[in-house]
Amino acid sequence: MNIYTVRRIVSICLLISAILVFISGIILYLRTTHVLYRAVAWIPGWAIDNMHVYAGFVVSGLAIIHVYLNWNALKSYFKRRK
Amino acid sequence: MVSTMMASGKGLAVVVVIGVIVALFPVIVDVIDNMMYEASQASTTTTTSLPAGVKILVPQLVSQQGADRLVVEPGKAVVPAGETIDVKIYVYFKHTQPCPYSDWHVEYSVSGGIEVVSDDGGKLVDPKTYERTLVIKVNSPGTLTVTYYYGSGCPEGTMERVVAEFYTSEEQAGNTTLTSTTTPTQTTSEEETYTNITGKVVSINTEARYIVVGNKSVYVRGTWLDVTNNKTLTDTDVVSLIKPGDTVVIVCKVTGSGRLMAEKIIVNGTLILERSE
Repeated sequence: MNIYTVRRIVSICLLISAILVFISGIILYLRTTHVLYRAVAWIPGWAIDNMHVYAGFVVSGLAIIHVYLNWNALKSYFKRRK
Repeated sequence: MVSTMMASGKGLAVVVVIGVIVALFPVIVDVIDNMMYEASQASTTTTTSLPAGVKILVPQLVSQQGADRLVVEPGKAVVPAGETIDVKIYVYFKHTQPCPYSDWHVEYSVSGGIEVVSDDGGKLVDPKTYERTLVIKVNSPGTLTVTYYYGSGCPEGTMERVVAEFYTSEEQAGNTTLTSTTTPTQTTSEEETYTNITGKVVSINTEARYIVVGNKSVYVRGTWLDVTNNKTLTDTDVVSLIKPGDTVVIVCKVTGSGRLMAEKIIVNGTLILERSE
């Protein structure tokens, strides 16, 4: 497996996981509201809780790999332009 | 430095391992927590002693229609007439207490020859566990219905309910002895899985002999005993007895194919037990 394939897999998985965290985060927030929670009341709470927690950890794990793969680019962002 | 490590591939491998460990962190924690929980349950079981003559047929009943879990121990027991037995009620909350919907409460009612001798009133033993102990006296067969009501407006659920049964002899208790331990959400024997369904009857199919409660179809088969009126009923009689809109509590056996077969029904205060050979 070459480095481009690794980057591609990590980036796609990171994007999908981040979308899952985002969607479940919105649903969890709506569940705390007084009226709007009805729109998401049909979704089992445990399913959304689990999705948010597990996808969050997957994002964290993938982010570590992503940072490693893009370390040089990231380092350059902190350098002052001459 | 990173480029050099990447070239060797070792650095990437190390980072992937770290990433996988972080991603699987909740799974690892769950496995460790479950192992510790099972160990603590085993030690609790060995220290429990039962009064003479008391036989536990179902160690616990569990209801988890919503996020919180109601557990009653024991779920079914034979107690010599006039003797007392401790009944433990637990509510395992999904979220720590106090929560925004803090007017949740636990209620119970008894029927038949059951008498509540004492009630410790219940308390939170930790932020996610409520415990209450009742001492009940069993004069003749009867049931203890325990209901946990979620706080008003709580989006996680409305209520959990279980019906514990107490008998004074094993003959009355029938042949539905369940002796093994239970899973968190269901009462199980070695090969059979049971579940509680509580709710309003949506519809009834008298020809196919099933009842629809919520979105679940529960099949009624065999010969039944109306315990309240001491009458024998056929499955068709039982289905005819129930009307759409009635609130029912049904203990069902889950078959291998996932079909729910009713074994005990409480409708309008009438307790009906399946008695097929």
